[in-house]
Amino acid sequence: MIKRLFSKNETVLGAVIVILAIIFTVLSPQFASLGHLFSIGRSGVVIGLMALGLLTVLITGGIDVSVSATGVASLYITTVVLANVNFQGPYIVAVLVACLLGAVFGAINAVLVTSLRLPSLIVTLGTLTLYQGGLLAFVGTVRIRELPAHIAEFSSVHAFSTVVNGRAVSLHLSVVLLILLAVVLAWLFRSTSWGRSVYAIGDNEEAASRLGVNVQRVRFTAFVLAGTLAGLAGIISASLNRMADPFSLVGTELEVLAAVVLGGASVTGGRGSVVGTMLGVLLISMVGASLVLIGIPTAWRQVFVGFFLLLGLALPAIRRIRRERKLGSVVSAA
Amino acid sequence: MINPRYGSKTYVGVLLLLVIVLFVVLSALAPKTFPTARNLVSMGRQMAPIGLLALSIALTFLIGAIDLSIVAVANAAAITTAISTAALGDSFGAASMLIGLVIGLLVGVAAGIINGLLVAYLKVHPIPITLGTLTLFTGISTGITGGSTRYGDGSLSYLGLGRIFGVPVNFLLFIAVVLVIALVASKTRIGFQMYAVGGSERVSRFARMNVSRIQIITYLLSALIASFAGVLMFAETNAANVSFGSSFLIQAILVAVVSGVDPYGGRGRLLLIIPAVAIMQLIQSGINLAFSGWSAVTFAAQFGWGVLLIIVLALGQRSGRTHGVPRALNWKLWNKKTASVSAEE
Repeated sequence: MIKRLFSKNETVLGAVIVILAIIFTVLSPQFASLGHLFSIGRSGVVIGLMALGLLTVLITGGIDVSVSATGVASLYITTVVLANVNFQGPYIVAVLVACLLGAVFGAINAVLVTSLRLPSLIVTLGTLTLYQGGLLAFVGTVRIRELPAHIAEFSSVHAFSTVVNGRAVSLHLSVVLLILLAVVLAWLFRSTSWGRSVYAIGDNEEAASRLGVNVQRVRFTAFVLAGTLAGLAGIISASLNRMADPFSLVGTELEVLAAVVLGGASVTGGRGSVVGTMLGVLLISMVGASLVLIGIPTAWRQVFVGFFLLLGLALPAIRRIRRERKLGSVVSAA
Repeated sequence: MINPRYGSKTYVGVLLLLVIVLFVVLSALAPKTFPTARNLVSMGRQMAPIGLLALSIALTFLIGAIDLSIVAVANAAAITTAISTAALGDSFGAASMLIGLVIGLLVGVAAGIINGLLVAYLKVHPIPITLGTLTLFTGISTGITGGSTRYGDGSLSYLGLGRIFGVPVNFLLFIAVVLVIALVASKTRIGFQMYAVGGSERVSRFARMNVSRIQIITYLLSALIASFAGVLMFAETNAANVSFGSSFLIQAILVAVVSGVDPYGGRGRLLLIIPAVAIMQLIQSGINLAFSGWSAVTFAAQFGWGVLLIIVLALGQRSGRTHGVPRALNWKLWNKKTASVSAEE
């Protein structure tokens, strides 16, 4: 029973998170404060939203490393456009515009990957540089601090607030939004034919298409979903930073990939779960937000991201190799 | 006799023709600034690091893999060389400079062994593995330098700025390295085995080749070349920083793809890296000449490389250069064929 539980990636990951949390608490009691836990949540939102999109693409058997550039292009173009028309309407308009832009960028990736049938890593590596280069060359390189559409105001919209030791601590609304979207995606994966098709084409494309799955369409929607979520992540990151920075986000695609891979998603498709991905995001943002507490300079942060990414790849691989060895010995004994 | 390992001969002609055409067109458009000795020398200098990085990528392409960590390795080597030459100073005389160079290359050897071992023994796809080591190596470099730029004592500047009969030393070194590696790939046993593994990992195993060993050697060579590129980058500016060369990865992949080395493995001529990188440099010079007054010209170039990479890939697909891989599988992450084969074993 326990053995079976621990053969699941999510359980192992959960255990690692708990052990790390205990270590952090011992090293710095401040870690366990409600304020710090909420700030971990806040720091994981942007990565988490992009991770949900990347997860979907990974399950179909592709990869999208352009999510970060999609996010920053969406947020910056949205801000520039809305600021130029001096739009001061509701925040939701900015969110919708950013999501729409993200969807367009996702659709470009999708067209290149599905109709030209090119390897998705190289294509999205190309669009990653293309989107960021295009943004910086043709839209602008200036950090915008005067944000339209109440984008900055959203940074202080909280889902939950309380007072601890005389200081206000709050859980940002976007954390709740992330969890909500994760639940919706998990439901889509589990209970809709689209969700089952996503797994089916990643596992065995030929079999899926013989079962009547429209492979190209599912693949297309996966990339568009990744783009849309990246757009949402972009605009929220502008809110949280109270600034539209065209140099931000690019580089975080590695953290996103690390989170998803840590969460047990297979890079060859067909496997991956929303719960695992969210645990991966939690681990990455927990370590990222807590290094300073235990006295490690943030410059070392990337080492941990790389280490966790490799660990996330190595653990299932080692398990697989062991299983194969065991099977091999059974075969040779018989 | 046609050797299928090298692909079509006409492609060689096409590449050489492109170099000549671009050169003539640019000379005609800017007769005062383009075909000058000064401009040609500076172009040669810029080609060396990019060309070496493209050679690193192309080598891993040959075995049907990829090494995304090359720029991280180059920067790590540049930083270590900078720190060690600055620390050694003149304490060993002229040998200090050699020690700095060797330490930089040792960083490459270590990184290559790590990459090779991970890819060979975990049997996980090289893309996520080398993305992981990319992050790890960059992280270590960032941690050590705190993100600041490190300067050397300038003792290696001959490698970056020197000239022999007017030709930049680093360009000559680049040509020499390409020649040696191309010779290794085409004439030696290990080179033959690299092509074989790229052609079919499974068949290579049946032929009793030690596939893991070939993978490790390839990654070792790839990282060694990348670290040499890093040392040359440092030698030219006497400065090293983790963020240098951020657009080099995409350019190196682009040059490797243009050189006609099949990203799916088993086919291509490494010598064609030289005309491919020349084409790239000519286009870069063209952009610089055309938009010389524009402040965002580097970002526009970045945009251009992205567009170009996708166009070149699409054209390659159309002309069937990647044949041997079932078309329906091509859209996948990389080559699902080899991934599932290694999973079966």
